[in-house]
Formats: sequence, C-alpha cells, structure tokens
Amino acid sequence: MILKLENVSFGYKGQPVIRDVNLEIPAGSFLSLIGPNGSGKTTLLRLMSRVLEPQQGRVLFEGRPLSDMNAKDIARNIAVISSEQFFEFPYPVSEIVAMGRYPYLARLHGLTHEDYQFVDRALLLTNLENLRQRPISHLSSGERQRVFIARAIAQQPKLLMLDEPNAHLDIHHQIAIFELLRSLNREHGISIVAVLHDLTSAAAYSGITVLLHEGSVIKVGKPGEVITRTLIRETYGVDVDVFPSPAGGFPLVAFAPKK
Amino acid sequence: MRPAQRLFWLLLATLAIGGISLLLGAVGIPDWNILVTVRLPRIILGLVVGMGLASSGTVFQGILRNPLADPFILGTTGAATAGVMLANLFGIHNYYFLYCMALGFALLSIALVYRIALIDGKSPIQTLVLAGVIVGLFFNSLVFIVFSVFYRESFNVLFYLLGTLAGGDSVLITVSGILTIAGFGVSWLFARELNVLTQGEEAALHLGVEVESVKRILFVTASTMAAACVAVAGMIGFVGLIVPHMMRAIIGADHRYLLPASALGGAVLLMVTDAMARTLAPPTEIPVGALTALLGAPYFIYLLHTRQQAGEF
Amino acid sequence: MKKLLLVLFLLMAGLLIYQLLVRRGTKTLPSGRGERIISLSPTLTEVLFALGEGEQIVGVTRYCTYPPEAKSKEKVGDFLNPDLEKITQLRPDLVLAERWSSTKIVNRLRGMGISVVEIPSPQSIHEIYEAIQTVGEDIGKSEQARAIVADMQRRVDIVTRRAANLSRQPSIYIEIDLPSWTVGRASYTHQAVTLCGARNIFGDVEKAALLVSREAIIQRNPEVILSFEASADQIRRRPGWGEISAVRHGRIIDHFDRDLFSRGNQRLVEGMEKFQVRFEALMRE
Repeated sequence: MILKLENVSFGYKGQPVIRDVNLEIPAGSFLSLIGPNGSGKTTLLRLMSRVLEPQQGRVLFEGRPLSDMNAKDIARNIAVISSEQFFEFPYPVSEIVAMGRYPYLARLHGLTHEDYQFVDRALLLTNLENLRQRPISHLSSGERQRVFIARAIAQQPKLLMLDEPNAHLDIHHQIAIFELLRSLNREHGISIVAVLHDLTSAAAYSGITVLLHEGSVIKVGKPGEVITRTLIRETYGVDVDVFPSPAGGFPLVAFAPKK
Repeated sequence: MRPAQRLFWLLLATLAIGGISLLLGAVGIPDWNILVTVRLPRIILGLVVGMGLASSGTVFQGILRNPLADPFILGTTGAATAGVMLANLFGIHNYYFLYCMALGFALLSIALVYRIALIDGKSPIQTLVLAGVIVGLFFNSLVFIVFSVFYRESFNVLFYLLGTLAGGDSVLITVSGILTIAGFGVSWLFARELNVLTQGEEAALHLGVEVESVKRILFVTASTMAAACVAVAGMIGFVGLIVPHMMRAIIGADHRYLLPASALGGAVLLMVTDAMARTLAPPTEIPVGALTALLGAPYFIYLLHTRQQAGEF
Repeated sequence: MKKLLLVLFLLMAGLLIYQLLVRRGTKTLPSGRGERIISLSPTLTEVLFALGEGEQIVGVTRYCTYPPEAKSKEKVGDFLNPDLEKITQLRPDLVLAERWSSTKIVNRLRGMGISVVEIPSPQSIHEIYEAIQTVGEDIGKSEQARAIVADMQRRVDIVTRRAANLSRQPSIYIEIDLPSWTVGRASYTHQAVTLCGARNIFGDVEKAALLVSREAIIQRNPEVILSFEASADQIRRRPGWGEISAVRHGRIIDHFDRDLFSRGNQRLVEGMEKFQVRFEALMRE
C-alpha cells in the first residue's frame, strides 16, 4: 500500500471540501482521479502531498504518516507536478531538471556524479537530450511539460502525482505524455496518481479510477466500473454515451450536440 | 567562458575600478591626508552599498519571482526617513542616533510587512508585495505630513535621506558593511533554495524546500541589506533593480553565481557613478542616485530591446 | 561581459582625462596668519565680512554672493552637501555652519579634528544679535560684534519710532515663497515687518514658516502684500484674490530683495529701512 487515506476531512472556514475520504492505493498503480469541477480533486491531491494538512484523519505513505516526514523526506519519495508552473527566469532545461536532485543534496555540496546520471536518465526518458541548453522560457508548452516531468523523474520518486498534466496540450503531446507516464509506471514501477479531466484518456491509461463528487468518493474501481452512463449523469449532471472502445478493454465517452 | 571564470574577471575589474576611483574626485589627485580620511572611506562605502543594494535586489527578484522588484519595493526608504524625522522632531541631532533610527525604522517596516502578510503561518508572495506597497505608502505619507507641518525643523533631515555617499564615517561604514556582508553570506548559503523557489512556492515545496522558513530567512537578509544601505547612504535607486538583470544576462540565472556577480556588479556600478558624481562639476556634487538612473535607464532599454528580439518577455 | 567592462573602463579613463583638463582651483595654500575660516552659510559669510574677517575666509558656499568679495572665494559646494575633500584640502581652522546644514558633514568634519561651530538659525531679532555675538566671540572679534549689534539696535530704534507715527497698524500678508509660504510669529522676518508698523495676518501662528491655504489669506483680507517671489501682476490674477483689500487698492510690494529679509544677520536692518520707506509710501496714497 503506497498511499493510504484514513478518514480524511478538510474544509475552509466551515465549508467542507473533502468529506471523510478513505482510500487505499496499492504500489504500482496508475490511478486516475476524476470528478466535476469543484469536487475537490486538487485539494485531495494537495492533502496527499502534504501541501495541506487534513483537519481530520491522516495520510500514510508506505505506512508512515505524512505528518511525520519532513519536506525533503517526502520529496525523495513523492514527486508532484502541479497545474500551475512558473518559468519567468531563463534557466536552461538541464538546470531545471537538476533541481529535481535538491532533496538529495547536502548543503554546500554540488551535484555528485550519481546525481548527474539521474538527470541524464530523466532527460533521456523524456526525449529532451537535444534541448538541454535551451532556456525554459523558449520552449513550447508541450516541451515544457516534458521538462517538468523530467524534473519529477530526477527526484527518483516512488509515487508521481500530476494535476491535469494535459491541459493546453495538443493531441500529439497528450498521447506522448500519457505514453511516457505509462512506461514510467510499467517499466520503472513508479506509482501514478493523476487528476484528469478527459474521461476517455483516464479510462484508456489508468488501471484504477476514483470518482470524486462534492468531496466524497463515489466509486473506486477499474475504469470500466466507474465511468458509466449512470454515474456520469449523477455526478457531472450530463447525458453521455459510454461504449466499449474498439481497442478493447476500456470505455469510450462520447457526446453529440443536442437535437 | 564559464561562470566561475567570469566571476574572477569581475572581481579583478572591481578591484581595478576601485583603484582608479582613488584618483578621481573634487580635488583631483589628493594628498595623503585627504586620500585616507575622506576618499578611501567613500570608495569603500560605494563598494559596500553597491554590493548591498544589488544583492538585496537579486534576492527580492528571486523570492518575489518578479524581475522588476528592487530593494525598496517594500517601503524601506519612507520608513527610514520617518525614523530620522521623528528623532529630529525631538531635537536629537546625534549622528549615530539618527543612523540607528533610520535602520531601526526600516527594519520595523519590514517586520510590519511580513506580519501583515502572514496568514495561517504562510505569507504568499502576492500578499507580501501588496503589504509592502501599503506600508511604503503609509510611511511616505507620514513623512510628507510631518514635513508640511514642521517645515523648518525637518529641512536638514529630509536631505539626510538624499542618496549620497558623502556622509558615512568609519563607524557607520563598518556597521553597514558588516550587515551587508553578513546578509550576502546568508543569502549565498541559500542560493540553491533561491533557485528552486523561482519555480513557484508549491513546486519548491514539492521539491523538498522548507518554503516558509527559507522565504523568511531570505526576506530578512534582503531587507537587512537594503536597510543598512539606506541608513548610511540614503536612497540610491536603480542599482538594486538593474544590476541583477545585467548580471543575469552575463552569468545566468543560477543564484550561486548570480549573487556574487550582482554584488560585484553593484559595487562597480556605484563606484563608477560616484566617481562621476564627485568629478564632473567640482566642488558641486551631483546626486549619485540621479547618475545611476541616467546610466541605468538607457542600458535597461537596451536590455529590453535585445530581449524582445530574442523572443523573451 | 567584455563589452560592459570595456565601456566602464573607458568611462573611468574619460573621467581621469576630464579631471586633468578641468581647473580644480588653487592647490597652493596661501601663507596664513593663523585663522583660516570656511563658512557654510551665506548668512554667516556676510557676518564674517562685516566683522572684518574677509581676509581669513578661505572657503564659502556657492550661494555666498554678498558682499561681492565673497564671490571670488573658493567654493566648497552648497550648504546642504558641501564637498568634504575640498574643505579638507583648504585646511580650515574653523568652520562655521548654520544649524540646519547637513548633520552628516558637520559630524564628519568634527571626526577629522576640524573645529566646527554651529550657529542656531535665529528665530527673532534678539537671536540675530546673539548669533552675531557668538560668531564674534569665536573669532576673537567681540568688540566689533558688539559694535555691529549696537548699530543694529540704534537703527531698529529709529524704525520703531517712525512706525509709531502711523495712525494705525495696517494688516500685511508676507509671501516668502510659492505657492503660499508665509512667516509666523517665530521668525525675524515677522518681527522686522511688525516693527515697521505692519501687522502680520498670520502673526497668531507660533511657527517660523508655514504653508497656508489661499482661502485663509482671502479671509484675513490683508491691506498690504509683500511678495519675494511672485510679481504683483501674478498676484492680481489669482482667482478670488480680486476681493482682497491689498489687491483692490494696489498695495502690493513685489520684487523686494529677498536677501534683505531672509538673512538672519545685520542686513535685516537695511531690509527694514527699505521696506519701511515703500510701506509708508503705499499707506500715504
């Protein structure tokens, strides 16, 4: 069990956002977190990465409470890519990725040979070798997203969390990112928790889907069990068509203009 | 050229320009007495203040993630003036006391800004900037009110804060020097954290940085350096804003190199402009703050232009 | 970076050449008789000359323009930010400064072992007498100082007695600077004008100088206006001022030599005398 949430609740000024969530995430999962806007997905992600502290309940990483771990500890195990990234300063790609080694560095010491190897590996996996020296402000959004993923990979995490990684990306880049995540999960054993808004990609790539609605977990299970017409109508409030994908094994969600 | 090499050349240049500055001033080549008692301290002060302002600006730009931040963005000058005016109103003219008042009030305003922006143990960057603007405006208004009502008594004090390197004596130069060097040292220790902070507070947290405490430390060091400079030399603008930019273009955005480069760059800029201030129209002194703006503005425009061509901003 | 450093070095080289070419003033120090005095205040410069110390003055500020001999003296900058190097080079035995000069410079000079006397800026005619006495004592010319003060007192006396001949005390607005800076009771200018037989409409305020609202001026309706900066024409054209008695009757004294009333020294009496003449002429019409 790589991550476990026990009776986690959280709210702002009396407004509950996350209500009594219980969740067990096995190691090696690729979990998609879906739900309508405002259901609390980003908040839940923040609670799982200790940006926020639960007001009730606790979050356990491999059996240890997150609250017992310090920032560097967590960073060595969990890497997070938020939806909002800043790149005002023109650091070259290699330096951005090298920042992923921060949790391992001793004060006043530079990066070791080993550190550089991890950085190189991350760049290789994300296909950024030839963009090493390019300042990050000069990249396209697709390339930038890969840089942030590379940085996360350089952290050598056991768990990778992403918040809507494919917003603003074209279909080419969306597929590229998903394939990358899939290979990280399958070939390198990194568990993945991703907040996704596109239900079809969630269904295609993830092994577990969690449906969140108004701060509570409505259903957990295989994508096919969670992404159903009924559940979507109950939570998202729309009528869609759900049918098996021609590729087999997962549902497709489709909708058409009203007549 | 690698960054470390550039730093080395910059250091050499700083020493060389410092040396040449010894020959420039209102009386031309001075005799030994003037050289040692008047000119040398002044050049050392230029070094200290240039270093302090540029380093402070670099750190602020990093933690506020704002390339247009300067050391006075959080209202230090107004507070320092208010402090000096207050002392003057009570008839206290002792120079060392005025320095302490200027320093004390500047630090007070920074503490105020931090306190105002603190919510739930966190102080988000946007709130810090807003709080700084408000506190700055408050102290500035205070200064104006006091000046209008107590015109005659406040006159000489207003010009206390006029940016000039003429005023420091060895004690104050030493105090400000120690504060500046200490501030620089601590900032440099956290250079790596500063790099990571530029990626955003949340990203930095995820990368293992203790964001709130690092921010607090850097905030204190940057503010202390700014306050120490204002207390001894008044308000000298542009140095803290431009030098980090210049140095970023020359040596890159990695703060482990950028911080020392900015320190040296600031020292050089201020020594050059102060040499001009002393030498151009003797024995009148042109306010050095005006000269830094005069030199800095065209260079800044040049920088903006070339960056636009390179596709940034 | 190389470009930048090159530019900076060229700049420094340029400065060195400039410095070589521009005259720096005499470096040779004249054989002194002991007392070398630098004055950091135009007021005090005038006092020094009046006391016969003109010879001993080795440095003055840019603004020390009276008497004409003062203009040929070495300049050390202005009184707020005089140049330390210049002052040191001139090796003064004594530096005279007014209390409102730059505290920084005074401290620095003292730190270098130079004797600095700070004269508090006089706020009344009596304090002017005291200031002149103090300066006199500090340079060993108390006799001459006493003579000047006595002369001043005599002339003030004459003015006061002449003023007593006026049938009444007309009200006056004194504008020392734009937009509407005037003097209150704690100023020698106020005293001077009062002794000449006028009543300062802002004499109720216990301050030396103050910025007043134009409304207050119109409301207090002065019969005479004394202006150092603005011309009578400009004053007449101010909105709402047509109502004022002084404007209606054309009793505006403009282009008055400000130095005669703003130097807290012996010239104030000259100012009083000149003012009284113009003032009486106006009141006779």
